[in-house]
Amino acid sequence: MAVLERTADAIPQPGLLVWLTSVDHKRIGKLYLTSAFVFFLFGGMLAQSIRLELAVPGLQLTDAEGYAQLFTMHGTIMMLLFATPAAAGLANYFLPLQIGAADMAFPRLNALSFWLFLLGALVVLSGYAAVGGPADIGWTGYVPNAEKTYSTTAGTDLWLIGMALMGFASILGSVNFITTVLTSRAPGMSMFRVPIFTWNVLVMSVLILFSFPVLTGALIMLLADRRFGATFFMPAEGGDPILWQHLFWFFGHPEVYVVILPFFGVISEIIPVFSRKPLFGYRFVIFATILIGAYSFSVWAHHMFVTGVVSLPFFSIATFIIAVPTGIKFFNWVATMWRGRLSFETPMLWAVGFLFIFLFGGITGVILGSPPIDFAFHDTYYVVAHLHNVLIGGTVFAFFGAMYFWFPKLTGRRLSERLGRIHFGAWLAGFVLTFLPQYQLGADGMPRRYADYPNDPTWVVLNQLSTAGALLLAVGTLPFIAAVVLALRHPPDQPADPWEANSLEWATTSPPPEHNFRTIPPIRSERPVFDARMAAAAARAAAVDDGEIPGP
Amino acid sequence: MRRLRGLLGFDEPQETKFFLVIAGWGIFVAIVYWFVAYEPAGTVLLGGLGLASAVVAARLVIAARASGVHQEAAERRASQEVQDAEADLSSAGTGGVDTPFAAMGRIPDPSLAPLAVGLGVALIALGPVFGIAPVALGVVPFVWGAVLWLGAARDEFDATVELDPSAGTDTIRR
Repeated sequence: MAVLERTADAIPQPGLLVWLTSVDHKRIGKLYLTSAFVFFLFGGMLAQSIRLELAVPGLQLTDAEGYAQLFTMHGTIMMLLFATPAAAGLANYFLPLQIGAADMAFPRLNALSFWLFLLGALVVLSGYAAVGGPADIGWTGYVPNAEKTYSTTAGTDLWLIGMALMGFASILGSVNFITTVLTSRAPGMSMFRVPIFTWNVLVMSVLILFSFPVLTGALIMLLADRRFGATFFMPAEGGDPILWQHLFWFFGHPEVYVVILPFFGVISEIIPVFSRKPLFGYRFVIFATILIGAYSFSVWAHHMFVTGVVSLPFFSIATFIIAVPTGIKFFNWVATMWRGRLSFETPMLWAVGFLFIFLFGGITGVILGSPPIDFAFHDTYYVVAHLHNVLIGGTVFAFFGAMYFWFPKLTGRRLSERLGRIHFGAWLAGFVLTFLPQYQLGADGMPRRYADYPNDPTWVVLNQLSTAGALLLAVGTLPFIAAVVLALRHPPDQPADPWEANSLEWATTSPPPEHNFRTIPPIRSERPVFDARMAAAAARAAAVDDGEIPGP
Repeated sequence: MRRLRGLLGFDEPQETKFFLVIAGWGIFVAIVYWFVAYEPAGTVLLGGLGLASAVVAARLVIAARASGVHQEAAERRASQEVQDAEADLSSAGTGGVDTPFAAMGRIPDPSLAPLAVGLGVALIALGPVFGIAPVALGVVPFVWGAVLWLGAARDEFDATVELDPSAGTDTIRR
């Protein structure tokens, strides 16, 4: 079939100017992914510094101020310079391909979103060049700690400006994603034939559209406090510090789903392919995604239980309820695998790893949704372990799964299975070793965001285990980098559909031509490529029966 | 009954229903939250979510009405058989995706405009920290990029109208 054949018009290797001027969603997607991964490595180095500092009691590498800067920049980088743009990168590259579009609805706006993101990220990082160093206020920027009185470095102002620029970029990007899904679908692709990954990106974009303006407004208010004498959050001047927490978490909790939902989509793409079954309950998964998005706006103040000024029953019940649609998704993923013809290539390994790690994060999150337990665990290492279970399980594992799964489409090359398995094994072991001890540390009452801790033998051992795990995670990343470098040294050789997958991106060449498709197969279900493959197989069988072609 | 269905948005396309559901959810939770917590910040945020989503839904409804999509047409489009038949008719040409997009002006040419505008905005945003200097520096790429952007958009619009005169009138009417 024409749509499944490989063509020779792979995109030529472009020069720097081509990347600077490109409005092609595929190049912009690659720019997002590359930038995000570079920031991921930098954020990971900061995490290693944190773990090395905590390997033994006392201050080794830095002082309390430097430690505050370390965890502030680590959190900011991982949430907003890695996870969010990584999701945006995958969405940029694959959303138009999955719906049969030639590009995003607003290609130039798409490029502007990327440049605003990158420049915003560089503004945040430029705090390292500021007198006093980068921001030291935590990625949550709580006031009055973030006010000028307590955080004197200009790095904090740069953090606020950079975050606002990135927020603006995300809003523009979300408008683009929503418009593209609503207006650029190929003929036959009704909303209930849209691939699950694209559905998740759509819901993510709605979350961004309604939550990031709140953050951007709050950042500007805080900048006005710090630079122009405003008093929005200064209690001594009549301001309200709790208002910051409301505004931040009204963005912050949906932000968790902003970074996780697209990766839920990735998992929903990978599992059916390597189970050789359609996704169990396609429509249920969509409704669960919408429910998660809607509920995510009603749980923000479970981060504020200990302030004593929020409704505990309301937010506690809402937090318990949001576990239900997530549970539906888990059920559907497991039911998809049930009695499937499972094969465990590297993408599937990461998907199963995701299920394991994220499930832990979900369960420990429900526990924290209970106010009496939250009062005990708040600001302890239990919370650190929980959020890493959610965010590393929910984004990093799925991100690596997506890379192994879609790398052939991105580049026409396949990543090494052998290196991928080593990478996965190191990360699974490293993750468990790093964060399981932290649950115990949290239960023992070790507070987070402190550079030092008492010389208790149990705490020392648990911290050293955690540091060893972190080092394993760092070393375990090397096979992935090696796999990418080795793959890129070879010419593209992958067919259009190396995995025998389902959605429309596999109907075009690897990598796709400039306008994405020469022809698109008829779209009669949410699995048009599977349908086309079956139709081709049926036609071949009929031809064999008729004697037009020789049988196998 | 038919009127009620229309008022509740049951006959609207899926994407409109999607935003209507979010609008309904936001407003519902805002009301519940107010009577549970009597807390203004959260109530305003939730109400704002509902209203903002309602604005998007209203825009989609108005756009559908303005482009002549009345109820029967919406129902007809919702029918999967008709959709499939339309897809069959277009499958030879794949809905136009094999048309040279650049010639139709549907995909812009590569341009430095987005980078220039982004650089300008980023430099201007540094004003609160570094004073007037970055603002003055940022205005240059911002204006240059904006002019480049608008000029290219105008050229593409003209090219589109030249290839398909109805596209221009449609855009103007909207």
